[in-house]
Amino acid sequence: MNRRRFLKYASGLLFASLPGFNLFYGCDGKQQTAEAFIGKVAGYDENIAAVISAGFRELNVTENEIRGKRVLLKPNLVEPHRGMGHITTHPLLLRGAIEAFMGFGAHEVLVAEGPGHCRDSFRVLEESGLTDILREDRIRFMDLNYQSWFTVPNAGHATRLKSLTFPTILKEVDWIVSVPKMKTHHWAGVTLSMKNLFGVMPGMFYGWPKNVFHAAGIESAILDINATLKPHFAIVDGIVGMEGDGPIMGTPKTAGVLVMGKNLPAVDATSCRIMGINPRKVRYLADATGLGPIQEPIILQRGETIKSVHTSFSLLDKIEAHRRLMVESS
Amino acid sequence: MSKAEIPESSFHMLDRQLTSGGFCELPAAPYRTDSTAWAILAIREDALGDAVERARSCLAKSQLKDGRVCISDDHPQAFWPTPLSALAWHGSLLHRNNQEQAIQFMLQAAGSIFEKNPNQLFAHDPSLRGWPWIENTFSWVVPTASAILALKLCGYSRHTRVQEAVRLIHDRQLPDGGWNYGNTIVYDQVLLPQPDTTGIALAALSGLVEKGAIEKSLFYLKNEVEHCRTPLSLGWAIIGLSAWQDKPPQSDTWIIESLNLQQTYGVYGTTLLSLLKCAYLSGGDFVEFVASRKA
Repeated sequence: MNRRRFLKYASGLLFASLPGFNLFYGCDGKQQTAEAFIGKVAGYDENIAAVISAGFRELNVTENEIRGKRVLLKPNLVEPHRGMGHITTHPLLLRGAIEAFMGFGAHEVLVAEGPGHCRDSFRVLEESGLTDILREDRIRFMDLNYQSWFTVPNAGHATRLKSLTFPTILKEVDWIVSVPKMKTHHWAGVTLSMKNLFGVMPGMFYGWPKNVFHAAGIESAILDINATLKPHFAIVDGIVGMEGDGPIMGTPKTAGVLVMGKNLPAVDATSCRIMGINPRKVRYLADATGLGPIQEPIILQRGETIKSVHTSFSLLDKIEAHRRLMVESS
Repeated sequence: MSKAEIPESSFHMLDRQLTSGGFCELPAAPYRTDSTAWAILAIREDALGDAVERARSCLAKSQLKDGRVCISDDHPQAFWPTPLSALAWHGSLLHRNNQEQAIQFMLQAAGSIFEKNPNQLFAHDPSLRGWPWIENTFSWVVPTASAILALKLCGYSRHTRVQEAVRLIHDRQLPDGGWNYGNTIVYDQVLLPQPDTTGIALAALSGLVEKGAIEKSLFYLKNEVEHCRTPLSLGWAIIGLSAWQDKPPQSDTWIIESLNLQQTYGVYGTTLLSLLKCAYLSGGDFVEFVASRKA
């Protein structure tokens, strides 16, 4: 641990003693840390696979963890519209992730999504530009809205939902990787790797949009889905994100970054800081205590520093979820 | 291009009928209620023997006591296949009661409502009752339009629930005429339309509103369908335009192009093949098309 990180960690312990400050502890009672990697990527024509592979190494993700494994990439394809690429995860980002996982020896990488606003999954692929990538790279796509399913007790208990139903493929793969777009969101404040997992929930049981979760409380539902599913990794597409009235009608925002890690709250908290948003003001992150740390001092930052890539995303006064985020930044 | 140029084998799905009589969505997949209902609509005049009646009987076994038909037994809240089932049972003496029970269920079921509030963040009227995808959630365009189609078919066009649902569909129409899943303006931003939802909304409104109310919708969809080849969007776009006597003359060519996309995407599910076949055969109002089918 270098001096800078030690000081951050020490200041984290100081804050931890303050009343009302949420800390994340593991089963053994020790404060747990998590790692997040930030990589600079100026555009989608850069060697994204190399950046992701470098991220794996910085995060100590070994070939042994990936070799022979089945990897499911879950992009954000909520409602693609041609010429509006800032709504959805970019296809070349997905290609980079596919190449990186295959380069580390994955047996299979597949792309899966249950779009929340659009039932025509083939149109989703065409409008997002993903069809050509999948065809050229011979990658399988699964529409998670209509797969076979399994139901398990809700491990999160943040909503009244007693159980959650997931597509069977999610228990057949070794890695579930959330690959969201870095966006503001007019109901949840931000949508990053945790919110992106709404899209694994089958529309045939939860509707279009996934209105069961809206009725149950969006922020609580995010926690329940993540607590129950336990995803393995996140790669946030912040090369071009969305600011303002996200998740659909906002404007493109170039941040030029990828944010990666095994712990989704830590990755999302780091993404928030890059966006100029205090993650403790994002309700579902503030309440993610049992899922991972969001405090900067205990997130071990790999790759670029937050300061070097900081890019404030515009928030709108008229949006209540944004007003909550404007109170303070850190 | 004449209709004879699309061979029946292009829509072949009879090998997806299970021993139970029901249909699966893809070969070797399990039985699904929505796949079965759609297959019945598509194969009615072509099926040999008792294939259609066996499918209807299988669907009847999936019907719960209160009349609903769900996507699976373990998710009774997901009752959105009920109106599809009512369409599929149409014309069968053996299943007349099943259809009537489904209709009675639809008439008592409704999406959640609340009073319109001047401070609300969205433009649509949440006090209007339509139908949800899932019990105890809000009403959306596709399940509401599906319910209107089933109720129209069964002679309930003047029922207060249909009239209110028509108002709801109208209320969810985007300023430029199209529809999406069911939100119009949120935080002062007009949202974007989708062709499949616009198509089913137009099919539902056929015969219930004046053409002037949907002229902009037809304009949007006629432009959009030129670029639609994926089956859900193309199928509903053609059905929606046909319902207003505006079926594009290139429809058959586009359907062939859509079928050819299976080389890229793999074989289509039963629901999509059935939808394309209905779009191919339908030349007018969708409800009249369903009513006119033999068997």
